[in-house]
Amino acid sequence: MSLTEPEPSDAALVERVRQNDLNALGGLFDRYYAQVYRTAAAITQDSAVAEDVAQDCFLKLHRYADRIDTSLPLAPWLYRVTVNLSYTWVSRQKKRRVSLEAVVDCLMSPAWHSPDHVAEHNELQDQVRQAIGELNFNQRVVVVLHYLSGLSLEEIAEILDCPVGTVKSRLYYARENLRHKLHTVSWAQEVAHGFA
Amino acid sequence: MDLHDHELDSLISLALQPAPVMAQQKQLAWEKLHAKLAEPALLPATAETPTRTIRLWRAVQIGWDMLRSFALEEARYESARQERYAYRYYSFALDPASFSLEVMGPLRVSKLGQVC
Repeated sequence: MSLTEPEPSDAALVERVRQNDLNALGGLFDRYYAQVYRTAAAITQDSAVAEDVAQDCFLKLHRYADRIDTSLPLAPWLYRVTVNLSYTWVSRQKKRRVSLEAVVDCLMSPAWHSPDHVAEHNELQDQVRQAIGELNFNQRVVVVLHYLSGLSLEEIAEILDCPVGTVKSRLYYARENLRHKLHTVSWAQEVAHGFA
Repeated sequence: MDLHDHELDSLISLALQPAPVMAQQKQLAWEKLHAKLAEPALLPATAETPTRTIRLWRAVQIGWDMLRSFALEEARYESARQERYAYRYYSFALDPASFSLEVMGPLRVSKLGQVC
């Protein structure tokens, strides 16, 4: 017969956080840090920023524990805060412009002609990641929450506080944009191969 | 590269593979958070709420300043005291008895304030 205590629920931990119990906050941190960090990293595409976002997210959890409705699951609240904090960072960040020379260098680099399948596979992933990074913020968030966090359209709609139809539309256009971008990259790659 | 839906889905899923979170990284993040929470909270500076007496005193002061500016301010007196210059002004009057039109003006105001 097992005498181990059952894990306290999120609601119970939030109640304790309201009493300024840092151990309870530690419990929630342990449970959700990876999820928050990964979401922020996928949206901002910057691990250092993702760490800051995750920290701010748990600071907000501590500060606003009184306002959290414990009858609802905690995860959507954390996702919403993560998305909002990431948005703040993305909107402040200056858009980095990649020079045409850098793109040409990248396309003509020896790695593009390498027969190594693993390298090609990684490069393809990098291209997809880069293409996701080039999506507008709303589309990127929907893609990350759907494909990385595995959330349904209804759950995403609840997190983003918008109709399901809007989420569907954003996902549709995000996929079309990605398809177009990957097609363009592939075409450029073929041209580069042709010149080599 | 024409991508089918399922290919695109798997490409996106592969590209968004969860970033690894090391135990050490998590521990460090918790220590940072813990240290931040332990810092004494800096309360935002709030404006002092004036008491009723202070508010009443301020209202009296404002009223007194307005009265003083109307009654005692010399600038207004000086402005009124300054000499006026002539300006063109014509006055018309119709005399029904003589059927004549009387035209007056221009008026001039002397330094003593008399119309001439």
